Amino acid sequence: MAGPIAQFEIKALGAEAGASLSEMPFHTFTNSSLWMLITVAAVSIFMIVGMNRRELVPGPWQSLAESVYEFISGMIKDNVGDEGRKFFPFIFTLFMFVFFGNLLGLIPYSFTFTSHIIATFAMGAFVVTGVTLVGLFRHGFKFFGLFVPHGVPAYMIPVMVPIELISYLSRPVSLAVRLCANMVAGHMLLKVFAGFVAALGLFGILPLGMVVVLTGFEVLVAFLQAYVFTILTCLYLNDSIHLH
Amino acid sequence: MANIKNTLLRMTAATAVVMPAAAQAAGGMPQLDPTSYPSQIFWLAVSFAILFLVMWKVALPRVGETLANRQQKLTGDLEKAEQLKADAERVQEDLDKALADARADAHAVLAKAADEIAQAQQKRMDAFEADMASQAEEAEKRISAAREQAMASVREVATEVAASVVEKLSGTAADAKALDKALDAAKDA
Repeated sequence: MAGPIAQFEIKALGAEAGASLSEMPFHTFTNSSLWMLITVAAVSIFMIVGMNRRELVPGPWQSLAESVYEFISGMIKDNVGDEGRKFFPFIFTLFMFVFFGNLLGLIPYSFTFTSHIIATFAMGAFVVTGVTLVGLFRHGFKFFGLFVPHGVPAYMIPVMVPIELISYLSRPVSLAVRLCANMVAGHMLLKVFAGFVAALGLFGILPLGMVVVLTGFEVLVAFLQAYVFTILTCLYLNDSIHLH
Repeated sequence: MANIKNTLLRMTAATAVVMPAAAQAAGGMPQLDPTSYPSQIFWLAVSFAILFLVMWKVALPRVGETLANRQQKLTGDLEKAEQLKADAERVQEDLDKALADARADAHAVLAKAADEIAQAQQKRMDAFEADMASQAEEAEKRISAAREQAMASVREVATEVAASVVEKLSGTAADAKALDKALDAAKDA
């Protein structure tokens, strides 16, 4: 039986078993790539087919698509304000990509690309870099005032600025680790309990119940982590736009 | 008891099966294997870019448009309802006014009619009274004429009676002058 780690293995699709990725080109199509594209397709179908009829009185599906739209739009309005509106497509994409990635990863035998630190870090680094550029573009040199907290006595500034700088630089890391660690922990836990089901025979009904409960819990985590990732992006963006 | 013991044993066995696998894999977490990083980053960028473009250019405008349309429709409908309500109120006001006017008109017509009737009545009453008065006067005139005539004929009759009485009693024709004198005296008496 496969261990709880096996589910995270990245395999090139179409290559013979045991082939090492290190000898393949950067665009090698893997199970991770496949599930990224499936996520893209799922989100697109959810948003486009759901809105196909554009009814005045929406059906259940259209209503769901509309409420996600309004959820993210409200989040930006509350946390960034009107200036955040032009970032809506990006933040919406970010939320849906992470949320559907997490959710589709819960399907047995699927792959959770958000459980890989490099993927989450790439997203986190992109967000923080982008947000920093937005801040620099809007405020120029004044943007660095972000690292000097208000009301700090002058002699504390040499201490505070490095602390603020480190906390700023750790933003992508914390974004990446939070999402990835949650996904890894949840999936490993599910796998361990699933392993007990097989090993215990008839008594496996007990861990099976646990797996059911955990799966429900993981659906919640899938949403929650996508939400946290998105709302932190909004808060960082707000910092850049409004400088405290 | 035996069952529980059995279960515990099985659980231990299961842990023994699962745990070494975990321990062995911990050294080689696939997440920490950098050979997969280029492919992951590349496909992440590709998928995210595709999704971003699809959302930005296709999906989100549709939702936004639908929501805006609905908002517009709602506002329009509300405005229309407001307008219709105002119209209905105005119609009600007109109706109330028309009713009040009609009532006032009816009152006026009734009052006029009552007035006319009363006037006509009065006229007829007056005419009738005048007629009655003239008739009564005429009757009185006739009565007095009749009385005078009667009175005149009474004298004639009295003269005749007296003459015949005198003639019968005395056997001679009565002196007309004396008779007249006597009658005048009797009349005055």
